[in-house]
Amino acid sequence: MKIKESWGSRLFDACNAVLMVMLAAAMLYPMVFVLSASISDNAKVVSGQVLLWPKSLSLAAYERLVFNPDLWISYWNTIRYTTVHTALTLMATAAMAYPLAKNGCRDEGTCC
Amino acid sequence: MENRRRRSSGAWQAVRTLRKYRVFYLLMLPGILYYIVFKYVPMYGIIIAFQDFSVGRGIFGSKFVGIKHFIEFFHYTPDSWKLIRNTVMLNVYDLLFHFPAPIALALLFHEIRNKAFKRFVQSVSYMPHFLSTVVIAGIIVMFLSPTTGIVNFILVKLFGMEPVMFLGMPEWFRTIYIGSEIWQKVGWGTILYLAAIAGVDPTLYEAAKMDGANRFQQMRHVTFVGMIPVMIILFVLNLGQFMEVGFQKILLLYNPMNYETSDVINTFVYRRGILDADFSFATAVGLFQSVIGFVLVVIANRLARKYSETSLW
Repeated sequence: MKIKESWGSRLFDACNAVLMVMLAAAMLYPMVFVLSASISDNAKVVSGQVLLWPKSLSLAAYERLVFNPDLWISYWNTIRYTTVHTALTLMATAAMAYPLAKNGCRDEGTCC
Repeated sequence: MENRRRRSSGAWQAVRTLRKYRVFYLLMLPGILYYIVFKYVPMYGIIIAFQDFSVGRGIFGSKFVGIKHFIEFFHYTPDSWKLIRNTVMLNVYDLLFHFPAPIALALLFHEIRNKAFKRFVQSVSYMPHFLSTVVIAGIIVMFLSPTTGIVNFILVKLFGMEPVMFLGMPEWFRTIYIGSEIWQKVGWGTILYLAAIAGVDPTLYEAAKMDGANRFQQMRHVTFVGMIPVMIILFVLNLGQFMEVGFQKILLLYNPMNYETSDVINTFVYRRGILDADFSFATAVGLFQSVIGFVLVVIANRLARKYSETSLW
């Protein structure tokens, strides 16, 4: 037996879908814009002509970035901090979580 | 038999437990050490809030001045009341708008029928969480710029208005701050609530349908109720941060033009305490904030324990 959905339920589904599309657009747009602005010609960005898609592709910004030695030093530092931090945190918290999880149980071997 | 009776006292029992489960205690040792060394031992440093601390003289050589710094902070009026007002208002707005947002979004996510669409929207909503505060502040400044920003571009071209200098107007700051907080954190925040929703017993839904509940009534009486324990815990945790409102983002977005609403306790302490190297003052104000946060958390937990089955402790 097929249960008929009320029109209120279908209206809710439609509104929800629209809302979700708007949400996805709102989340994606700033990132897409920043990406487009980074590959566009600087003058076009400043004059506000780049809205969504890049105009007059130019990789000048990336050139300046890549040839700047400070960037690579910072990047290497970031990688070092992140790797060591993640590894140590994971080990310490996992080690600490296991006995704490067994806290409520009576015997060693079994656990609820 | 005599032995066992003699060794049943509390102290001996503790030692026996320690030895019997020594592997587990060893496992916990790194974590416990971390808390002792980095969180509890430095507490002795609070003493400098009550001294005229100077790095050269150290803690034992600095003069004890009692609550001079606390009095100085409150007598900085009218500015200190403005600071407290800004801190409290930003937190109230945060609790009013930012706290319910992931809850509502989780409920909406739960109601999406198409699995692929649901996964797509969820993944997209998680993305802003991974951008750092600096990047977000940079995006905000770029978007709101009166000359090159996209928002003003739309306002001028589509609606024919004058360009608005959003970051220079105190009345816009709270909106910008809370809006960007929601934008960044709502997607990631739904994860916890979706886990809570998934943990709701499916027979409850069936029982509700038997009793004639339609979709919205089910949402209200089964799904929402299943999220309440998580909500309470997160709310109590949030209250603990009450006075520590997001310092990083405010520091990046504020400027003397919007000090009226953007200057909070932490930014003021940053200018006075770090830039002017007035460590005692900074510690005193930090202590004041921590005490208030602590009192709020204890009160909230008391209330949670009294009126519901969930609480932090």
